[in-house]
Amino acid sequence: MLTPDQITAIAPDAASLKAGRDLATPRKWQVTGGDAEVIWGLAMGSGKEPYQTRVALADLATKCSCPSRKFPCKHGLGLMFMAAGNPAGFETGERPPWVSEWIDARAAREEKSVAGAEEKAAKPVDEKAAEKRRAKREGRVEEGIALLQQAVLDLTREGLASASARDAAAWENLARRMVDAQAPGLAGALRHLSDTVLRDAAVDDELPLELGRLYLLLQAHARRDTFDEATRAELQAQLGGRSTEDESMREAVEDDWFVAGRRVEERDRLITSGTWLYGKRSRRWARLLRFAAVPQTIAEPWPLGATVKATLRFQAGLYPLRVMPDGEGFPLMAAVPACDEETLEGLLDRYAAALAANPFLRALPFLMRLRPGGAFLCDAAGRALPWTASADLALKMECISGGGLVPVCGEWDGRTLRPLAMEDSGVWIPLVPQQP
Amino acid sequence: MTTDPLIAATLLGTSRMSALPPAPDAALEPAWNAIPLENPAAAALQALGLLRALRRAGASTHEAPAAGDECPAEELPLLAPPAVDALLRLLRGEFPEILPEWLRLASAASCVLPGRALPELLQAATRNQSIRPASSRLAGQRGLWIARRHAEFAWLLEEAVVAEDAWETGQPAERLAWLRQTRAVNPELAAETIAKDWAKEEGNFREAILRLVAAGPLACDEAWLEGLALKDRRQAVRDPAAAALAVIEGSAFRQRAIERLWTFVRVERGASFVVTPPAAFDAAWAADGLKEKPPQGTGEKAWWLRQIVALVPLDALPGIFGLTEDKLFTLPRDPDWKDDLELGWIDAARANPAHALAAHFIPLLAKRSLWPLTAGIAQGPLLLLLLAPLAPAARFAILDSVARDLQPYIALDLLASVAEAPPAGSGRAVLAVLDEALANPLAPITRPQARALALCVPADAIQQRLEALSQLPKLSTAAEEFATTLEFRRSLLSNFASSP
Repeated sequence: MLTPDQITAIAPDAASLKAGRDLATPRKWQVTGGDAEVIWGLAMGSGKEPYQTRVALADLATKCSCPSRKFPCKHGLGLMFMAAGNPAGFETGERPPWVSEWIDARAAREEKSVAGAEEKAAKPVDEKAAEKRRAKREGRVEEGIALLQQAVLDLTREGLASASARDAAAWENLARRMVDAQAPGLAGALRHLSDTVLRDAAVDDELPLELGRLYLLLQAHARRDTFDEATRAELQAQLGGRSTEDESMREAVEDDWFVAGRRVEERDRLITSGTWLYGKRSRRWARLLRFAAVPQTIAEPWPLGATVKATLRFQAGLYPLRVMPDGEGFPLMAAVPACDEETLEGLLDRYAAALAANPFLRALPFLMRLRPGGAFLCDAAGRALPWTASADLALKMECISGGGLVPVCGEWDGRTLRPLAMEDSGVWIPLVPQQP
Repeated sequence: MTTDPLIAATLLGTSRMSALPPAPDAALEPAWNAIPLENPAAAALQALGLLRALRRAGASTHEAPAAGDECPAEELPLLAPPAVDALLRLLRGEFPEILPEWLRLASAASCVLPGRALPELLQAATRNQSIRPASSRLAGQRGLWIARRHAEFAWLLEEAVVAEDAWETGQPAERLAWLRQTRAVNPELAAETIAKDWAKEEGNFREAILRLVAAGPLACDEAWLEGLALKDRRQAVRDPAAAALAVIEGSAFRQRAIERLWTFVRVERGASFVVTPPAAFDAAWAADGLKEKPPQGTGEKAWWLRQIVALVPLDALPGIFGLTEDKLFTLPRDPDWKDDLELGWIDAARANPAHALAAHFIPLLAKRSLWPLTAGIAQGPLLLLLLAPLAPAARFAILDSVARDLQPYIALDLLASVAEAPPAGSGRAVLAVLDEALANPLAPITRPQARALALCVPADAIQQRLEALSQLPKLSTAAEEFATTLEFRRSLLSNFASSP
C-alpha cells in the first residue's frame, strides 16, 4: 500500500518531487514490474543505458543506477508515484537479476548487522571504559543543568517581565547549550519558552507557569535517587538522554492501531514526525516519534488514516505514551473507525488524571465527534472548549462539518484544542502539514 | 494582564518578595506549605510548577454556542477520492490550464465535491470569474451553505434561485441574482425596478447592473439606459450603457448613431467607402458619449470620425450600406481615412464583440501585418475577445480560415488562449500549425502555452498524438511539457467513466 502523501513526504526537495511526478508515466519507462516486496523499473534517461530503479516496499528504500546525488532520486519517486496510481500494474513480474541481487544484498547486510549486534552483545563489556564514558556524559549533563538552573533563578529574581526574560533569542541560545550538554529534552522545553515569548498572547501567565514546570524538572532530577523506577525513567525521558532501559522489559501491546494524527515539523535542521496511534481494542493512545536530519527525509510506512495490526512497546514513565514498534506491522483493509463516545468533559477528566500522574505532561490526544462553532469546538453533549486555528483551517473544518458533528483527532494541552486530522465523507484527512 | 498574586510577584521579580502568597486552592495547600523559603526565587518557581498543574487540570468546558442551521444533505453523489486529489493538485498550481476542463467534466458527471476541496475551489473561483458557473454546480448544497456565512463567496448565491423579495432584502449578490432571474421571465418588471431604485444604488452596484444587462440588452431597457445610465457620473457605467443602447434594435440612440454615420460615411456605387469628415463638433453629440478633444497625436476630425463609426455595431453596417457581409470589409476605403475607419470598427467590435461579424471581420484583422498602436488593444487579445462569444464549431472554423494568415506565434497564442478541443471535423488547419511548432525545437512556445495547447487535443486523439510525439527524435522543452500535460489529462479523463 503506497499513498501519494507518503511519497511526497520522503521527497528530498520540491524540484525532485515535481520531476518524480513527471516521471510517473509509462512513457518514461522501458520495463516496470513488482511483487509483494519490491517494485522496479528501467528508466529512460539521457544516458545510453536506461537507469535501474528499485524500491523496497517495507521501508520505501530506493536504489537507482542514475548519477543523481539526491536521495531518493526522481526515478525512485516516479516509480513509487506510478505504483501508487496503478497498483495493479506492479503486481506481477519475475525479478530481474539486478533486482534480486539488491534484495539479497540488503537481506545479507541486515543479517550481518543483526549478527554484529549479537556478537557485540555477547562480547564481554569493558566495564571500566563504559563506566568512564557514562560518567563523562553525566558530568556534561550536570554542568548543563547547573547552568540552566542558575539562569532560571536569576531571571526570576530580576522579574519575568524584564527584557532579558522576554528575549526569545536568549532562550534559543540556552536551548543550543542544552543540546551541547546532551540534554535535548531540556532544549525542547527552552524552545517552547522561546515560542511562548514570541507568539503567545498570554505570555505574562505562560512564561512563569512553563518556567515552573522546567524548574520542577530540574529539582526532581537533582533528587532522582529518591524516586521509584517509573519516575526515574520519566525524568530520563524528559531530559532526553538515551534510555538505559532494556527494550525487552517494555510493556508490549498488540492491537489494531488507528493512525489518527500526525504532525511533521522542522527545527534546527532536525525533522520530527510525531504520530498519534489509537488502539481499537486496548483503547490506549500511543505516540510514535521519528526523526531525520535535513536533507534526509522520514519514510512513514503507516499512512495517516490507516489501521495497522502491530505490537507497540511502551517506554516506561509516569503516564506511558511514547512507543517503539516491535516489528513492521501490517496495514489492514479497514475503514475509518467509528469514534468512541468520548466527550469534552471526559477528555478533561482524562487529562487531569494524566497530569496527576505526570506533572510534566503537555498534550493529550483525543478522537471524538465535534463541530466548529466560532472560537469553540463543540461536542455531542453540548459542551465546548476553545480551539486555535488559522483562518484557512477554520474554513476547511467548517466546510467539512457543514455545521454537524464529525470525527476529529487532535490534542488538548489544558488551554486549547488543536485539531490534527478529521473525517470527510469516509476519508481521513490531515489538517496540519505532513511535510516539514 | 494576570490577576494571580504569585504570577504578578514573579513578573516583578522575587527579590522584592518576602513570602509566598497563600495557596490558590485548598488541594495544593500541603505541597504549597512544604516549599522551603530560604531562596525566594526557587520557592516561587516550585509554587509555579504546582500552579501550572492546577491551571491545566482545572480547565472547564463552556456551554456550546447554539448550532446554526445544518447544511442540507446533498442530492447528488460525491466525487470519488482520486478525482478530488487530482482537483487539489490542479488548484495548487500543477497544470492550472487543465482546471476548466476538469470542472466541465466533473459538473457534467453530476457529482458534488466533498467539503475538504471546497475552500480551495471557492477561493480560486473568487479570483477567477470564468470558472464560477462550473464551480457553483460542483459546490452543491454545501457551497450555498458556506456562501451564506462568508461574504467573499457571496457570488455563489448569484447563481442560486432566490426569493421574490431578494431585491428589497437581499445582499448585493442576491439582488443581482433576482435581477437575472426576473429579466428572464418578466424583463419589463426588471427594467421598472432598476429605474425606480437607480438613484439609491451605490456606484459599484450600478456598474454590476450594467455588466449584467450589457450582455443582452432588451427593448424595455432603453428608457433607463438612455435616461439614467447614459448620464451616470461613472464612465464605467456610461460606456457599457452606450454600447447596450447601440444594439437595441430601433432605440433612439441607435437611430442617432446610424444617422450620424450616414452623414459622414457613404458607399458610392456599391464600390468604395467615401468619407466626408465632420467639419465641427456638434455639442449634441456629447450627450451620446462622444468626446470633443482628441488624444495627443490624433487630429480632431479623425478622432470625431472614429468615435462616430465606433457607436454603430458592425452587424448593423450591411443593412445601412446595402452590402453583403462578406463584401463589407473587402470594399476599397477612402485612402485618406482608411485607418480611421478601421480604428472605429475595432472600437465598435470591442464594445459589442457579439455583434462584430467575427467570421468576416477577423480575416480582415488577421491580414494586417502592422498592427496600429492607437487601437488601444493588441491583435491577439482583440481576436480572442471576438472569438469568445461564438460556438466552438464557428470559433474553430474562423481559426482554420486565418491560421495561415497570422504570424505562427500569434496563431498559437490564440489557440492557447482558446484552450479547448475543436469539435469533430474542425480545427485541422490550426492544429497543423501546432504540429509544425512542436516538431520545431526553435518554436517560440512557453511552457504555460504548451500546457494550454495540450488542451486543444481532442480526448479521443490523445493517445495517437502521444505516439506521434514519441516518434520525434528529440523533444524541445515545450514539446516535453505538452506531452506531460497530455498524459496528465489522460489520467484525469480516466477518473470520469462517462467521458470518452
